Amino acid sequence: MAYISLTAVHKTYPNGYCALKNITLDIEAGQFIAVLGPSGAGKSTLLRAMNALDPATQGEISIDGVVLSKKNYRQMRAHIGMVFQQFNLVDRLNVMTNVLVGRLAERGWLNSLFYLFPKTDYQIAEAALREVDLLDKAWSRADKLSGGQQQRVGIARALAQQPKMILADEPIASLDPKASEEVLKLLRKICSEKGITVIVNLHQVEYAKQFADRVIALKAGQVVFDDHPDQLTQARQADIYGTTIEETTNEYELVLAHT
Amino acid sequence: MNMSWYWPTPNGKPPLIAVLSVIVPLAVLLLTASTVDMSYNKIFYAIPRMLDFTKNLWVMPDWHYVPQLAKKMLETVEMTLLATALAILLSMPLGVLAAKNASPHPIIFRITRDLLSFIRALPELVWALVFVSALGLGPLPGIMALSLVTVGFMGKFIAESIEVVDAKAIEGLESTGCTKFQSILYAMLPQAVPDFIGSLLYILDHNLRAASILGLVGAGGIGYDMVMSMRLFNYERIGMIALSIYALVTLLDRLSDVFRQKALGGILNVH
Amino acid sequence: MSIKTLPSRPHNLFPLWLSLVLALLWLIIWDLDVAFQDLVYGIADMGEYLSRYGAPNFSNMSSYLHLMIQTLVTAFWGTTLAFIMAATIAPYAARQLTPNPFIYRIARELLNFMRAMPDLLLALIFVSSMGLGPLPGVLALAVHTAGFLGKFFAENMERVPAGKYEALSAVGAGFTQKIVFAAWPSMLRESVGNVLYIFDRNVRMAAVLGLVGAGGIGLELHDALRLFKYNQASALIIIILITIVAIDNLSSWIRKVLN
Repeated sequence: MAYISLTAVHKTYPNGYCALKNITLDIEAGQFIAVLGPSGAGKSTLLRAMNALDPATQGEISIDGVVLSKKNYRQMRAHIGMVFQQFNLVDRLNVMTNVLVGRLAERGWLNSLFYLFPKTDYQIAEAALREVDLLDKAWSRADKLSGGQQQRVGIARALAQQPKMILADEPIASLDPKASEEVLKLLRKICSEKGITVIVNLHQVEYAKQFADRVIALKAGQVVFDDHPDQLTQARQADIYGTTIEETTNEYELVLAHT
Repeated sequence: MNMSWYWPTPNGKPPLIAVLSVIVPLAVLLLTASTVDMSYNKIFYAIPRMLDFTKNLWVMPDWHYVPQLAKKMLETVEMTLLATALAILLSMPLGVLAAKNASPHPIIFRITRDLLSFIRALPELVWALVFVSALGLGPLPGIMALSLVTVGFMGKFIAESIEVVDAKAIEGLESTGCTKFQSILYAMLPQAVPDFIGSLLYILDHNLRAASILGLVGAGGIGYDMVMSMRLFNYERIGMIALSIYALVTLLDRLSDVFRQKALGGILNVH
Repeated sequence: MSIKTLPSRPHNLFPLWLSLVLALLWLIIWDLDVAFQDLVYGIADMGEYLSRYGAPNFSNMSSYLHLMIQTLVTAFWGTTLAFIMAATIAPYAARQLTPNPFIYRIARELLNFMRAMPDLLLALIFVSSMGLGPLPGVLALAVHTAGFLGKFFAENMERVPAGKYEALSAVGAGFTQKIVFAAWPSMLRESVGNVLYIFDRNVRMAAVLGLVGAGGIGLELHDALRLFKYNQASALIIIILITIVAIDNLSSWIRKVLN
């Protein structure tokens, strides 16, 4: 049985806009999946439906056999890590605390009120920081770090949850190329070494080809490609994006030539 | 399972500032509890009396009182509007005088600044006491007290807004050879206006509340009726008064929200 | 394509608004029957009147000081109690944190109600239930300013970028945990400013609550004026003045230190 299973999932917003249409997918455990597609295709919506930040309006999503429903959002989320485009760290708090936030699902409210965590949580957080190579910054304020470093803290936070899967919603869209590669290499390493299922939203087709085991492409809320990245030829890309990278470059040169 | 709990700091203990900001106020509270007669007994025994009071409020309103109530509420609103309008008028020139970069002379700047601080420092009710003592009862001392204090706040606010105005706009104007007065009018004041509108709404809200209690010392408005009905245990009237004040303040609140959303944009397109 | 004619001037409504306001003010002056001429004639009298305050009489200094300290303490107690109440209610009045829209509305209305009741009225009610003294003043200030502070805190919480809350939802954090780890660290600076502002305001209010028997220096001033003891009145006014200016400067200093 597939680890993550989406069946006839629809997402319609209150204003009538239909972001996901009849998505049916099966995802095996331990895969590294890149989700591609033009802006507005529903990539974010797809991920956010999986951890119910924006729950699906129709259809069923089940993870490891358990169906996602209003009653179990919090418990499910405890084992689903998420990495955000804007990092979503708490600027004023130090890196360690931001990582410890990943443990909150298992902590009661009283200890959380006083920012208290048990020793075991610190050990888990330390391991997570070691994994992302930011141990030396553990006590720095989160907003004092570079973009790439902040995203790695975000990944550490997800790791601290000891998740079975990590959803990364455009994790490199705010990063420069060097930091982007670092982050994707890190996610790939986590997937291969720990067997954590990783699903990443991306714009860059080259990264998808470089890192992913499987590419799912969305267009206007529907799956238009679901295969090994090697199958992602120019022609297929044209279908997804409406054009290819080569073509756009040529158009640009054409425009330049005529001015 | 014995888990030892730590704070997320290098040494596992809470940061000093956090500890102090809890301990110090607590210590002050404990030390000063007697000064305010803080006693659980007093509060505890007061609860049934307050419930009693609330129960007594659910009586038929005194319909004969409505005309006077309306008159006094209207007076309260009028006091607020008039005092605020006067204050705006007075505070603009004073604000200019109290702004370091617009004031004609450093001595004038200092005097105006200190004067504004002085009139700001006393609560409206204290000024009202003074003015009632000088002018007798009625809304006039109340209006004076309200305007005075508002001028104090508005004047300071305008002065500060003028001081942080964009120097480039001023330069642009001065390069055309205009006078200081013109540069104030065309560069400084217009830039200060949007923030001014925002604070105006706060001031109106504050003044309405202040106006509703000035009557306590005879300076007009619903305050006098409010105190007298409490003293005479006129439960019907107290409920009506409280309700009308609540309605008025809430109305102003909603209007401010609407105005805030719409106006910071449209109406200010002066030219 | 070039513009050949000047676009028509946008309608300028400002003069319209201004004339409406002026008309309204004229109406008010007429209705209140405010005798501004009395004021003008009275300017000379004002001069003489104000001179009566010229010789402040500090003979009762120790009792005045005691009353002023009582006023300050009343304000402090009121502010702290208000803080506790406001911090408890505010999360329920913040859109991103509130458990459901119904509770949100109730919390908002509760805060509005607490704000709308004039502190003097509350003081009167508490005095009639508890007798004279500073305690009813403390409670009146606490309830009234809890409304203000609660609204400020709720607005601060709503201004925190949604992503911070989402990150906490995504790890499976609960209500209290979101408040402690996302809301408060992100709104600390503005909130301290709010508390200082409210304390400032409470010192002024505490000074006058004495007029209804709720302790503090206000009653003393009222009696002095009623008995035409201008010298004592001016001494009291000076004490109030100095205290409030001192508190203002203290607040500014604290604000500066925190930046």
